[in-house]
Amino acid sequence: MDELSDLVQRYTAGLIDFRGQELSEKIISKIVYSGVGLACVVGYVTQDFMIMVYGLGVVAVLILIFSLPLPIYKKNPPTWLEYTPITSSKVIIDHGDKKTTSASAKKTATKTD
Amino acid sequence: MDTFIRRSQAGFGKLTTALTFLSVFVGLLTILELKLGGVSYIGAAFDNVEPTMRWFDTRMFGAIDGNRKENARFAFDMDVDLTGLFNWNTKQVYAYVTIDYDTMSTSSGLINQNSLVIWDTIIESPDRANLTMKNARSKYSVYDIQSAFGSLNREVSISLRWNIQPRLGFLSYGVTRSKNQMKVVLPRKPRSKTRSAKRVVSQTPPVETSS
Repeated sequence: MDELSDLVQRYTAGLIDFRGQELSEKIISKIVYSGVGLACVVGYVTQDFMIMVYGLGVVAVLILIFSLPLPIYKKNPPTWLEYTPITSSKVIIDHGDKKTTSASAKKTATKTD
Repeated sequence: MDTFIRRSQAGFGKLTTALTFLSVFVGLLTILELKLGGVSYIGAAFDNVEPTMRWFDTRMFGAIDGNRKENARFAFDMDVDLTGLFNWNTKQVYAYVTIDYDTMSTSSGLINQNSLVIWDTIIESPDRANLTMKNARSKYSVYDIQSAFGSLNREVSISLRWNIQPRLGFLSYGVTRSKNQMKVVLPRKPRSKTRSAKRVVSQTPPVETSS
């Protein structure tokens, strides 16, 4: 059941790849800033305030559309390294690193003295 | 930014920022447009301004503790075109006729400019912004802080003021220029001694002292 909910979450979350994330941010900011500017200009030229408001509504809808996991955001899937399960116990339990750091710290301390 | 919710949240955050700047820009643009459009040169023509004075001793007309109040009502002709106040960002215009006069403050003894609204209207579309009225009656009966209003031989000037309520931005106020300098001397009206005579006897009527 837990696996199923994970699966559902994964497919409804709208996950995209890293290049896609960068692209979506660029596209959405361009839509917002140019769309708001355009709505203001069109509203002023037509001398109708409601046209500007509708234009802002269109911008809001476009934000939602371009937030969806569109295929253009999924063109560069990341290449993951192959999963190699760690079998040797030596690598997992390794306190040697901690010891060496403390020893080097002691060495530097004696040098300064 | 990996999920749909986060991307849309970031997008609407940007939209909010953009709307903040847009609202300030539109507000300033509207003020600039009104100033450049010559809004302060709109003229209003008043004619046949006829004040009527009446003494009241009810609280509704400003009479408190038996001090009678002299109220003024007006009949006037007005011709003004407020179409120029309407642009894309005007929601409605509140137009009001005021009488302006000098009054003496009872506490400091200084002379102040005072304005009283005698008539007003709300204009919601430019089609109705052309106000042409013949023999219009003032909506409100007005009185001064002093008991006597017209009996002090007071000169009042009448003018039309406006207040634009925009859809987005700042409220703006203004006065129309009177095409003919409309100054009216309020007529003298002595206090009638028929009603509430006892109260009046205790005071000195200003009409008798001044004349």
